[in-house]
Amino acid sequence: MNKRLLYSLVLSGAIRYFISISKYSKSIENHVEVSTPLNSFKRLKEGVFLYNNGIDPYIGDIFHENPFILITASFLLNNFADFISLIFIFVDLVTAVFIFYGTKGISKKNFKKQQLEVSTYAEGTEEIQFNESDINNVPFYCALAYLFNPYSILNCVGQTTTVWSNLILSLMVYALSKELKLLCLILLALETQRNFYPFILIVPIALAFSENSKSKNINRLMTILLFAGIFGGLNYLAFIQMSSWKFIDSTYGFIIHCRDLTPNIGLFWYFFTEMFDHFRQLFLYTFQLNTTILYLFPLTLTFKESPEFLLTILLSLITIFSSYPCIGAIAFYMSLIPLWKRVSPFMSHNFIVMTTFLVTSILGPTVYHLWMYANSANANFYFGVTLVFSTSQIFLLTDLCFAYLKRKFCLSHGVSFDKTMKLSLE
Amino acid sequence: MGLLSDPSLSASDKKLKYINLISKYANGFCFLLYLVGFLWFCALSFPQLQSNTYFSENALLPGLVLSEIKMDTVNMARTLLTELEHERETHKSAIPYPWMQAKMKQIGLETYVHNFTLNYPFGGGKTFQGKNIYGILRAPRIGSTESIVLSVPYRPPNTAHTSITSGVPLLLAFADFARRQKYWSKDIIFLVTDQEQLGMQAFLEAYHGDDENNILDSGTLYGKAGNIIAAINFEIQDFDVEFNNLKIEGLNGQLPNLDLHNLVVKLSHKFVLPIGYKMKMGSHHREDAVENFFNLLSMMWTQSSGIPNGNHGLFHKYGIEALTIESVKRESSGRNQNIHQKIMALLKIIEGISRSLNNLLERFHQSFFFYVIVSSDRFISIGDYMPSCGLMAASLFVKSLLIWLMANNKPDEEEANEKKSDDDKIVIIRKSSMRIEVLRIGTVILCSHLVGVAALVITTNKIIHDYLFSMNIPTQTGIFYLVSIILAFSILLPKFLKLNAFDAQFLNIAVLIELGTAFLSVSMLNFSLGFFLCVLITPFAIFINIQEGTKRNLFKFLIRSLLHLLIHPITVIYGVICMLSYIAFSEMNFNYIMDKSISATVDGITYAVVDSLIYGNWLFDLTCLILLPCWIIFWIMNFSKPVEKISKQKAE
Amino acid sequence: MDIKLILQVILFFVYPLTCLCNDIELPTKYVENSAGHTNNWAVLVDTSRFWFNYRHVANVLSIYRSVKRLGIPDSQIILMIAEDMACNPRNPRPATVFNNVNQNINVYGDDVEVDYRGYEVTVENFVRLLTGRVQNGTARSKKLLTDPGSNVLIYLTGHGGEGFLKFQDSEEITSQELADAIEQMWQKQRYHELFFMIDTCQAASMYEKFYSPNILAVASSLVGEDSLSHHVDPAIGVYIIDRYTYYALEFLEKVQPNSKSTMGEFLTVCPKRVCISTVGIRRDLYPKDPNSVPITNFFGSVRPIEITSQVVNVSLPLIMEETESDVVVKLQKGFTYSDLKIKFNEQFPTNLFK
Repeated sequence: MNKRLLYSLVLSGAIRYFISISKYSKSIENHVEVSTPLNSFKRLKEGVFLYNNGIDPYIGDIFHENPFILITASFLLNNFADFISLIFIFVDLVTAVFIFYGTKGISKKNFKKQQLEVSTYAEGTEEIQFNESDINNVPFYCALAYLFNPYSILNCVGQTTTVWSNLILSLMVYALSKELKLLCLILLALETQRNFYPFILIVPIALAFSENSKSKNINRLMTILLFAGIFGGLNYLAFIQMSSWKFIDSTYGFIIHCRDLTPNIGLFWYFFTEMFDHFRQLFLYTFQLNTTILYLFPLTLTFKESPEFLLTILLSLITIFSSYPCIGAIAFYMSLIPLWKRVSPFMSHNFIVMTTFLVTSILGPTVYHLWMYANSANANFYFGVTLVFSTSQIFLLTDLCFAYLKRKFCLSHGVSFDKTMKLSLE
Repeated sequence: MGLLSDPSLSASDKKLKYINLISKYANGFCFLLYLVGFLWFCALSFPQLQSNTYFSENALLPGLVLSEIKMDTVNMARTLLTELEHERETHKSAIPYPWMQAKMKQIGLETYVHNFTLNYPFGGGKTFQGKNIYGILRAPRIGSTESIVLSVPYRPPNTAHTSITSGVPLLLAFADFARRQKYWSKDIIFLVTDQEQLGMQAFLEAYHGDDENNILDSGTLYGKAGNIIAAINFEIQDFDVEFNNLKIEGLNGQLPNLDLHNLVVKLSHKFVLPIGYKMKMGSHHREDAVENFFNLLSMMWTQSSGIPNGNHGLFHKYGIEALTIESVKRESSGRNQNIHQKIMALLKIIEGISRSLNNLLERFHQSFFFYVIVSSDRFISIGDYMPSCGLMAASLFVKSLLIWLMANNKPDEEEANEKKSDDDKIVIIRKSSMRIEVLRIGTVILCSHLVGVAALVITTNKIIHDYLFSMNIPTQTGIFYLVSIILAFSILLPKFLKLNAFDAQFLNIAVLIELGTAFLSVSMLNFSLGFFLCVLITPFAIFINIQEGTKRNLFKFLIRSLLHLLIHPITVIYGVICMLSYIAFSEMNFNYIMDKSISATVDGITYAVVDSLIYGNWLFDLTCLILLPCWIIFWIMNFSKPVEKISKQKAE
Repeated sequence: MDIKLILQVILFFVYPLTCLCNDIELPTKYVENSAGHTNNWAVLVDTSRFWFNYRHVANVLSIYRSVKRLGIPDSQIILMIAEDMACNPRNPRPATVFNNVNQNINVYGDDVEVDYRGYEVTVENFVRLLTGRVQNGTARSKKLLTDPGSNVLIYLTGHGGEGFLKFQDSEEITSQELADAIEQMWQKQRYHELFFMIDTCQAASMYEKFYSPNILAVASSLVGEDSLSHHVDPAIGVYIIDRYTYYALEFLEKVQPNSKSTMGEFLTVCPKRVCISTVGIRRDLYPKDPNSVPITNFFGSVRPIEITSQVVNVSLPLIMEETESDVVVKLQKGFTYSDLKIKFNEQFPTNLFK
């Protein structure tokens, strides 16, 4: 293994460990930015307790994880209860390792793809072309972006099940880069079971696996059907395990209907708290469409030659717009952004986005504290801050998309132009 | 889509022109923002910009009720005081529990004793025991769902603090009166606390089942009343009261609801007992901007430390509105004839407050939680004072933005040459000779924060302190050593982390944003602290520029380094302590004060550590985790190498 | 869903037509018969809760006491009180409510019948009560069983604003809603004359929207004015009565059941000098001259009694009698009980329309 990666793993593992034994760990776990109704460790423990006592945890309104997580957690809590925080740290580090190897594969692929096309590129564009050294550097940056991202550290210390999610996603990226179709689809199905939204990632995955095949459309269709089959099979397995279909409503239903209006960093809770009941359905479906398929088709058409880029964009979209977003998921899509290092010179809002991220990440909990504990401030302050936070994420995303297109344009047209020429991608 | 992302491909020349213009006046502009913020604050001392206090909570009905306290209660208070004085002769170092318990039971209160233990984190596992005593008066016609607390700290005869013995008889006399009334809708807890704030903290932790504190073992309460709505703490120095003083500043600068403050002020006026906020002997209120300004500063000074100036301050953490009424003894000698009237007035104030709180239907939620008191009837609300901090913090953000723009759009010399050749071309991606070393910058940020974390960990870690104790090093000295190690390490850090000026710029951006964010959120939580930090650090942060050019000016560098050392957190604490002791003991020799202040600084740091551990005061944490790392980053930036040198080295 | 929608659309067009059809003139016989004032009802409402609103409860209980003293029986008084002040733990005089600092009248005496209490005092219940559209199974004491001969006194007190009156701490009734409810009462012939009295801030705004006939309205303050409390009882520690009600009560205390005082006098009980707010009066809907209407028309329940030794036919020659006699005849003829078909009295006198 790469030496500097090893150092980073040790260092970031140590940071996670020390925070998890400090007095702050409890309050981190209870923060709404970290723990949502969907991923909170407290709820997981409650669910496991009910399960172990022979009560269906899906009857109540506490537990919303899928049955496989329930069984795994039940096993871990029964056998390794004292090492839970270590297990979470270990899982998080493994995630980083898979991010490293997954992004390495993708970088290699990008480089190879570029070599086929490099003859068509304009002169003087070496600066923005993928570089041989990128194959080693970029994955390292990706791993670093995950290991030292405060969001992922807090997520790991908070022991949310998003840690497991991130592991599954990183494995999926790895399988994608190694072209392990079946594994990739199983992982996607697992993650869809946990979080529902990731099912739209089947589009970039189908695109990626059809790249080298002759009859592309049939291949894609087969992939999607295979995914549907696996997903159905997994749900059936879960049914066998739980011997009831209740978990369907308690997981997917809970996500789609946004039943829990605990404040979080997303956009749903504030909106639906004040919603008139007869409009609720309408807006609920509007919001869910916005999260899932509204952007899917235009983005797919625009970025279909780079499924990995599409994957990054879609992953961040569902993270931002999901009904129970948490910072752990944000940390994961952020760790994929360094993949597009060669795009970064075209990004124009870095400063504003980064500053807003920092300010809102600090101000959010402050305002929440004032609202909940100091009895002053109110929901509007907190929602205001989280709204700005989400907006800055969207800024980052659109900036990335535009930068990608600008780069593509510049690769074929060169980087310097006549002053009289007016360039616009509008 | 132009709103979300700029679709055009390059920065225009116009933009560059503006940037060049801005960069010339960057510091001036930022300083202007700072100045406006500061002047905004100063302007608040004009009475026109302050508001008069008023009641927003209807349910309080302040002072409507006719006082029913009679002379017998007053006489009881005097008798009890005599008895207590007698008891104090035999109980030199503790509360006379049997007497107090007997009295409470005799009055008819449910009486309990509350034991707590402090496992002192320093000094090798020393423990201190304490015992609170409290009596609950149950509301006769309603379930025990809500309660109010009336508390007195008890100070044994051998204490160094001012004696406040008269509080206990006063409270007991009132309990006796209250016991006979039937209109209570809330339980009243009469609490006598031991060991100053420690007893109160233990009581509150035990009351709320908060057992996260390992250092203070808060024990068990055998009797509880309902949810505590409000609390009044009394520090009665003597029945012969000159005036009452209000103390409101709580833990981490939290304040009680302004309605509670107004209530006490109004009732005191009603029963003709002078009351004031930070009253001094013989002070008079004047509509004078200068005096207002110093009143403001004085309140903010107390608030900024985050240390409660009375037992009331600990309630705030649990969302309970509380304040302390301190009755200051009349100075003149000779027995006062109308002492009965004074006791009567005190009792009536207690009765009035209790009945108003009794009327409450929900928690205090109207009025203000964030305000600054100018005098007992004037205040400044958060909306009026926040812009001053906002402007000062904004200057940091603006500065960082300007640095960013300048760093990204600086026309390189090579490029300028190129430009001459093909003037009609726009180059979208400039080939800059310098590349941002993200990793290096990240490492510096990470390391400096790790030093901060280390500072926090080693000063609070029990194992290290146990080791120091086993080496026979006193706690203060031990902490002094630990702090010195951190200090030395932070000063030596630039030796290991080297940067060039180009990267230092990005580091500067990062640290400016970090500071700005920290100031914003600190000033939301504790305005006073945020304000003082802003005033102190912002100009420094604005005027630091990365040394550019090829040659290093040694003289300038030394001056700069000295300035850096002056703003080091420890130096600042030392400076502040020096200043305070100079003001307090102005007759002493300055050298002597300087000397004494060193040990005072060490003591101060020790107390900050203890406060952080026992009460959860976050001043020390903030200093270690944010301010110290930021200083270290500035310090490293100071040692950054000029760009030319590095590129030359590279060329070689 | 679709069918519902279509039905709604149809209704939308048909409804005006049906309205036109319904707009028939009442049979003169019926109207003439009900022209006279035959009985009295009172609806007394305190809409606010919380201890510091003690005065509102005292207000409403004071009026209750007066109307009861002047002869309206408890069965014809609907008393709505949103909070039990007498048993509030803060009350230093448990089980009493006083309206005067001297505490000489305990308005919460031995025989107060509260019909709607606590959280039952809602806008919905109030409107249902007025319009008579109560839910099935509602107790008789919670119904306003008025008829075309009823003079109704409505007294409201609480916290109001321009165009609304707050109920409890959570909802409010608007002046338009109130006006519509009263129009419904009129259309259903649920009152003969109505005296509307309100003591809140900006009280006059509540009667401005009235458009039904035979209403005399008085309000403690005009729009833009606050109604003020009268005084504090320092022993209880709250404001115990509002100014307007205090002076109205002062006047009513002097009224005896056989009094010759008129409504005109009552309307001037609280001049601005003592009330501080301006009392608003609306008489354009009221056809009579208040100065000729005895106060007992609304506040009492006095009916002229003639003593006579002869049989006087006071009822219409109703068919009802015939049916009754039919039953009697059938029973006399020895029919078994099971053969008897029970006939109910009709809810609405449809026979009159023949």
